[in-house]
Amino acid sequence: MTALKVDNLSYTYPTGTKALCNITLDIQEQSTVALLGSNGAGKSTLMDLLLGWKPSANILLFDKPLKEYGRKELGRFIALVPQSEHYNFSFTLLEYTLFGRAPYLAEMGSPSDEDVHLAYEALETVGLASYAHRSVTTLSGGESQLVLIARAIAQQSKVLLLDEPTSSLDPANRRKVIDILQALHAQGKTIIFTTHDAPFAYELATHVAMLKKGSLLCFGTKERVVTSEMLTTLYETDMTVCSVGGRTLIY
Amino acid sequence: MKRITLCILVLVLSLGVFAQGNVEKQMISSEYYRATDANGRTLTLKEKPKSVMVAGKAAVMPANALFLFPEVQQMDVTLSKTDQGLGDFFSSLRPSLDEQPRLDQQASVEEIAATNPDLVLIKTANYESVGKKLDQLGVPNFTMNLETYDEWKVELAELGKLLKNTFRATQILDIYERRLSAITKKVAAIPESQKKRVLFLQGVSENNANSFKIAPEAWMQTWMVEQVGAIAVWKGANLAANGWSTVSFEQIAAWDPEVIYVVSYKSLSDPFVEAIYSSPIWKSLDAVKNNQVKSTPADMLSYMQPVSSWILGAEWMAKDLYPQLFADVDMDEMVRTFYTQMYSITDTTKLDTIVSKFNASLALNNR
Amino acid sequence: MNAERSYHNEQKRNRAILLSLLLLLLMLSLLFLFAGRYPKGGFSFPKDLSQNVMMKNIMLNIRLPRILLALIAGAILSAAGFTFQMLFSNPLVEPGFLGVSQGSAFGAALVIVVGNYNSALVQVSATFFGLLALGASYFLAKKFRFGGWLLRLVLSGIAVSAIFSSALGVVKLVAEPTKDLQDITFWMMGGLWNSNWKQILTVMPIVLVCLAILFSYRWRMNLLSLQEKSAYSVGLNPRLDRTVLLVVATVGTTLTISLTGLIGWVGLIMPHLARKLFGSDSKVALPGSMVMGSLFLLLCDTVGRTLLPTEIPIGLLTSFIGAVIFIVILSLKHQEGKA
Repeated sequence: MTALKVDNLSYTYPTGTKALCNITLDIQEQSTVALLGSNGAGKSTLMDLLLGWKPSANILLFDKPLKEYGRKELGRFIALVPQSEHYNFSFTLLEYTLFGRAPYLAEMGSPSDEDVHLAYEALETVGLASYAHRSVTTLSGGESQLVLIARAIAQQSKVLLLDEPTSSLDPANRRKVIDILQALHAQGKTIIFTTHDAPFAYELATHVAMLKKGSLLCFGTKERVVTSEMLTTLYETDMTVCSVGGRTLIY
Repeated sequence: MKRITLCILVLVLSLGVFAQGNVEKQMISSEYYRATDANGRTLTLKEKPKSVMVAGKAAVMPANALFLFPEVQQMDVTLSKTDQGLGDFFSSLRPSLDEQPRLDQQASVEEIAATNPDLVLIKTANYESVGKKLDQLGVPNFTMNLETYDEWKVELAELGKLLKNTFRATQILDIYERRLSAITKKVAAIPESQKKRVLFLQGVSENNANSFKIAPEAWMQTWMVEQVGAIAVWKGANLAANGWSTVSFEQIAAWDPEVIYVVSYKSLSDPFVEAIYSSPIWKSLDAVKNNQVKSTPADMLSYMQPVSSWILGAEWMAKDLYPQLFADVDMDEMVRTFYTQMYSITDTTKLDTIVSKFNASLALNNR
Repeated sequence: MNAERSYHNEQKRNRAILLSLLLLLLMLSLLFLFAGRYPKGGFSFPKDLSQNVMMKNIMLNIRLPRILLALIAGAILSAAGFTFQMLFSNPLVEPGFLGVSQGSAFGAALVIVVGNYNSALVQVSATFFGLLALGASYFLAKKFRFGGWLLRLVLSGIAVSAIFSSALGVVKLVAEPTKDLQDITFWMMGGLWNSNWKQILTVMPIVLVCLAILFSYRWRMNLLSLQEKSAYSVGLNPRLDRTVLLVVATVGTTLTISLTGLIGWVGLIMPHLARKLFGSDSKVALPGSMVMGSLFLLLCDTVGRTLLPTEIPIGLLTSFIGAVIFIVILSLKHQEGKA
């Protein structure tokens, strides 16, 4: 079943710069898709469009145009893990994760016991349950990223969007994030993430879409599209993909 | 021998007389106009000031004092704008003043100096902002405070010295003393328990609502009420030494005064008195029940402030509070004699105008 | 599981504290009906109220409206400050910082000077210019190319405040010193002694509505402190919500200060103290700051009208008492997780 269908999508900034040109993507449910490309390739813009944050007419979510979804309804289908978040107030981790429950609350309502329980479970999933009462301002960079993921998990959406989820993480935290996302994939979530890190993309994703200067270079299963030639074209620098002892190496 | 001694004696004597005469001449010619102002500075003017500027806030008070002296007739006087709503009376003394532009209250020191005045009169409060700078520019300036009777006595005498008319200064002070003691002698006999309890309020309109303020203890308003043999119920309540402070109705009710005098320096006092009488809250006050809330007199200026006509304010209050004691006092006459004695106004039309203004200010009291 | 339980306990504790504060507020309001200057300074408990016409008059027509005004003004000023802080994701902001106070003072002064005094018109003008100043600060901040969002906001707020302050100064110069200037001066200084039933009954219902609206947003406000995209991603319409809340907070503030004049410090400090006491979750901290704001202003105004025979300007009291309370509470040992 197609989760997200992007049909010949183009996007121009209000300033006149063309960000995306004729993108067509068919993202299947339960797949993990990496949007791969250098900085400025248009990955973030595409993500904004998939989220509905920037308006578009050419995107279908589960066969229904994105535009026709109500705000809260959309929130139940798609969750976002932003690249970073600033914390100006000392919310506890539990309070912060609870924010993810907003799409399920009445207009002026507040979280119920069930919501609290789900938020706590989300924190357990990312391994931060013991910090539930600490303030978000006391978190390290890696822990901060995990909390953002927890919030998105609490949202219980079918689709998860992640913006550069590991770009600022050390190897240990990177590993954690990959494990968590692989577990979510196993549960049936559709995961779409942007990155410029090809090895990371290869490790986590099932499918890869390569974006260069706003255009789609290729899209398909990672085995098919992640080749030395494609990567070299994408990055305009020599890239090699090779298999070593069953593992794929990219450099 | 005797002849030589006589000659020497005559010589010495005549030298002495000559020397004496010289000293006197020196005194007359070099320290001609010299006085000490309210800030304790000594000002010396080489010759009679011809162009005088009265500048800064509350300038009406020094101007008021200046016009008491006949010397002002030969002076070019520039006045400041006033923020007293009734205007001022200088133009009735000298109509030409109306045609002249008035200095803004906030006029800069440069503006003042640019007109090259011989003398600038300012209030002591403006010494820091105006006086010091004028000193630097070499413009002669003289401060006066005139907030209490004692200050009037001292400063008016000094002003007399400055204008080289100490005789006139003494004359003015005698008139005040005479008129004041006419009151104090009579009220001295009133026993403490019989003294009327008076509240003196300034009415202020803020945000379309009325509020009332009381004067500091040391100010003339408080002093005047006591001089006329009344008890100033608010004495000690105003902790601010330099300004009027707002009091709530509750506090006024707690004082429960027998008489309430209302003044407004920005407009007529009548609207405030009317508002009091028509207010459902003030109704329960004794002073309101007994019709003892009154406007205070004014002609071009309110009498209830330290301007030269304060004595009229005292005389009026004394008569209003103790009519039997002052039955023989005719306020219209008192107003007339004041302006004649103080400002040499003899024109009956002018005097009549002033008296009718005076009566108009009290019209509401005769309801 | 343990963490969940302690979360619930936390909620219970907060509710209990809020309720006790509310109860305290009610009791003090009642108690302070007996405080004033009549028949003497301090507390007086008359034996037979039905016979004592003056006392009844004073309690019902002077003290009661004034107490109500203090309660409502304290609540809205605090809530508006809290709202601004959440919306601008900046704990050091209050409506005054973004030119709202100066804008509304200017709006009021303009009407006072240009036309005849008309309460309704003054309030409308004050609210209009308050909102204008807010909008100007916001748009200027977007245009600046210097520093982060918070810094830009504070800077543009300073600029807009300065512009309206000088505009106000010009109006004052032109103002007739005999009448207009006094009204304008009152606006700048602030005081509750002009409160009466008529004013309160016309303005307060609207302010209460504003308070109700802000109260209904109490949990969602948390989300509006996040970056807009994040708030959007969890199903909010952040632009709309932000606009509604800002307008409501500003209208409530300007209408209140049209009666009381400018009262500073409350909108800045009370939200902080509320967060210190209740935690950063606005679900409890917002109502908490409302109650604390009411308590605070009630306390300040009661002192201001009881301690001395003359009225003490409210601004003096809010800064002094506010500073003391602030120092005391900040010095208290703070719990883990609550900063």
